Amino acid sequence: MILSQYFHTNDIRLLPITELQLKEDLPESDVNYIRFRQIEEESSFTLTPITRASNRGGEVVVAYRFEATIYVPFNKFKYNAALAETNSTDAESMIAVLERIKNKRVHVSIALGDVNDGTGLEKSINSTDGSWLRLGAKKASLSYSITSLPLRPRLAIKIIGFTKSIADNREPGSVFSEGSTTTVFT
Amino acid sequence: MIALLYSSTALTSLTFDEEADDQVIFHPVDLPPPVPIRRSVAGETLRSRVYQHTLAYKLKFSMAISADELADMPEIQSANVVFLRNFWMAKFKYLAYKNEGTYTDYIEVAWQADEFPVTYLDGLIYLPEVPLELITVASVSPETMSAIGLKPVNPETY
Repeated sequence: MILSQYFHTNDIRLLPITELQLKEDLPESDVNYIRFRQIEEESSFTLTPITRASNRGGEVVVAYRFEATIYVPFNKFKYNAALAETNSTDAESMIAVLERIKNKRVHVSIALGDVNDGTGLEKSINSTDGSWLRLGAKKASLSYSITSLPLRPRLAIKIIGFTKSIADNREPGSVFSEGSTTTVFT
Repeated sequence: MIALLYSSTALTSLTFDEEADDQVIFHPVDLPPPVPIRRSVAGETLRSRVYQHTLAYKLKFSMAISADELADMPEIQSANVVFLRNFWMAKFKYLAYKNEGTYTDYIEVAWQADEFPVTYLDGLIYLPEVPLELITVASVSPETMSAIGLKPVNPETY
């Protein structure tokens, strides 16, 4: 009943993962980024505290571990410049970009719900609001796998990162930003 | 809470100053009460009487300052880690111990670790933790022990 009341007042928003942006941490003139705009429903993320027991019987939160697994339906891996947008000028495949940034520290932005990413993205139908989740530069790394489902292979991108605080992230401000704000890589 | 301060010269005043330079106030995750250490000379006389003469009482402060105060991702060498390293290297080290809301005067301490003792939680370089074991360089007065919250040693036997 209480839940229903909060839904009624629009305090609980529907914010599915709708976009993933990965950017290599390089000077702006030489940035490699990749942007996935079609994300499968079972994609998920967790922010879990890393704790350290104190000698007063409590637990001290020292940082947060961020983990996300993002499933991407695209599977035209080799010649696919259109499905996963990159800034590459030579129509590089998304796998080529992922290969290049796989062992580097990356900047991660995940769109939750209906956001404006500055490119006129169509409104997602199952969102009631928008928010960005960002991990600043050098805070995350990624690996990816390709798994076979009954009818198709698909790409799974696993991101692991760390942040000292959820509310007071150093860059670009906070892990979560409210509202359907535009994002730019910073 | 504990305030650590380092200096290249001996302090002229040991009165605690919350705004002092080269000082950081920490909230260690582990901070048990300091342990009194007795330095004494003991032996047995030719008439078989055992004696033990106390030379001094020292205090050992053991604590662990963890990543909640040392982490500053994505920096690996956070300002507080650098401070602790400078504190470890400094010629003069002082601490002020907060007991019942009040800091003691500065107490000069030594940190006898030969190697800067940094460890990393879960093996993550972003999560440093530094265990400290500081021992007072001089004999501690009963007044200081009282200020720290330890029962003072009987002055007559001190």
